[in-house]
Amino acid sequence: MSKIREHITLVEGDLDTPIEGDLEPYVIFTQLATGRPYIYAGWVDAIDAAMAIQFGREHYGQDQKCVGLWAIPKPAITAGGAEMTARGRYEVFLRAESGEPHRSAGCVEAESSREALDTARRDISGAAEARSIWVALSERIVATGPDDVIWRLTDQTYRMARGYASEVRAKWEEVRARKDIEEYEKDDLKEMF
Amino acid sequence: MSGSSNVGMHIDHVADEDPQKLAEFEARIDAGELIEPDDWMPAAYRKGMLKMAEHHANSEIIGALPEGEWITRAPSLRRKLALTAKVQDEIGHGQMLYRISQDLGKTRDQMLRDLITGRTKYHNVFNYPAPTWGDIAMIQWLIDGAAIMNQKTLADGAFGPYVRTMRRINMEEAFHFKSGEDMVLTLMTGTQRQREMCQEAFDRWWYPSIMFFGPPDKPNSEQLPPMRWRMKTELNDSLRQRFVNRFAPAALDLGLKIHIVTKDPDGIVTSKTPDKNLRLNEQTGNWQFTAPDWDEFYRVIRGHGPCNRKRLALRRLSYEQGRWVRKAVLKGSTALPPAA
Repeated sequence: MSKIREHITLVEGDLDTPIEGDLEPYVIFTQLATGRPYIYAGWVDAIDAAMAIQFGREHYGQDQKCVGLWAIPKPAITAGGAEMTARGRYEVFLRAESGEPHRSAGCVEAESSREALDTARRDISGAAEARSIWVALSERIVATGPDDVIWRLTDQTYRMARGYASEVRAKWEEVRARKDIEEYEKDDLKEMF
Repeated sequence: MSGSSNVGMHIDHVADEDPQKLAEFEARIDAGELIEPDDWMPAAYRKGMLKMAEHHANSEIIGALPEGEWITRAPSLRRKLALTAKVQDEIGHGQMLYRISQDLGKTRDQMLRDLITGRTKYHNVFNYPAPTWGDIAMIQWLIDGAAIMNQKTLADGAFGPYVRTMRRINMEEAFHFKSGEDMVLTLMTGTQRQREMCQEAFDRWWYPSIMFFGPPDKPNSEQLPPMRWRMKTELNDSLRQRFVNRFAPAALDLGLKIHIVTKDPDGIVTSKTPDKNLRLNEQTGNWQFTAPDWDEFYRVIRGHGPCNRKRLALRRLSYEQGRWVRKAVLKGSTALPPAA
């Protein structure tokens, strides 16, 4: 720790500033290749959609190859619990197996989120058997553009396990070889020199 | 970096629950189904999962502090890039785990405040010092190695959001571990001075990493809620044994010596002797080792470790100094940074 930061005195007791509250939650979906579904990645807290996209790119777009990102404000997405009465196009997301992330599976036109869920079960392939269905109002989805570079173009292997695999292997071989040599020389070393 | 191995829960956890709903819930767990936030769950389960996810989130952001301090002093550009990415990953894990906790009913601001005022805890292992680059290598090799072992079992748990987050975290932890292994190998195949630095760091971190999995299990642990409800899926002692079986022979192969140590109040080793109990038991296939000093473990948990106050002081300062940023984000340009 740097010398200055090491010697910060701990102030004990309650904070004298008021509780600030949280930002708005946004659900982030990532697309790993063009034309493939958008897969649920996780959440971010943000003040608005622009910040959610920016935060989502940095947070969920860097550990796998990623070509597209969606951010959806929490109130615009439902599994049926809360209802949206807006008329329009709804994006449908399906969880095929227990524990799997939701994936985008197409869209439906509906008068409300309830109708969107019913229509999805009837019209979207796989929806009837899905473990869970989410619908989101399409107009509330904020997306990265087709020309946005999310996954960086520079070499990223320093932040991936496979970036170290061959070096680690080579070094282990060196260590083991050295150990074998030491073992081999153990008995003769003293007498020879 | 690290999950909580200990979820405190009382035995009367289901006294007020509807027996039918509870039976259905337990049947779903037994069938290997995942529980989602909108599903019915016993109040004690919600409370326990919140406590576990919050503790884990706290550990991620506190654990990044000693490593963050080393970014400017990393020995090469590649190591600097990797350490920066790692610290970013850990803070990201904190953000994902706070998000799970928020869905279970507590605001993030409240969790951050509870952490810096000492109302909630973070993982004990982060109360130890990292005085050299060797410690950064050891944290990534031993502690992240231990964390992966633990989190792989947590990814077999039953709470959907936590399980999915563990899978994502483990993907990134694999990078932390592998680059840590590379760092340790580099030091141990380097100069005499590098090997000594590595051995000294190993002496500081070997026992904290054995204690990482939490105290010895109670005799009835498998019947208690954390395991019965698959909030955790493996006993502390069995994880600990697997860790020693994996890392003791690797350390010896590297030319490291395994010591029992005494430390001063700052966590620096004052004396060491070889662990005479350390050997492979051919019959069980397990490596035997001298048990850690559990008094030290409880002393550190109660706030008397080498770095408890340092870690909290830095986190609290960061929270307080970051206030203008949060105000600016929330209220636009009306909030200005404080005068330097």
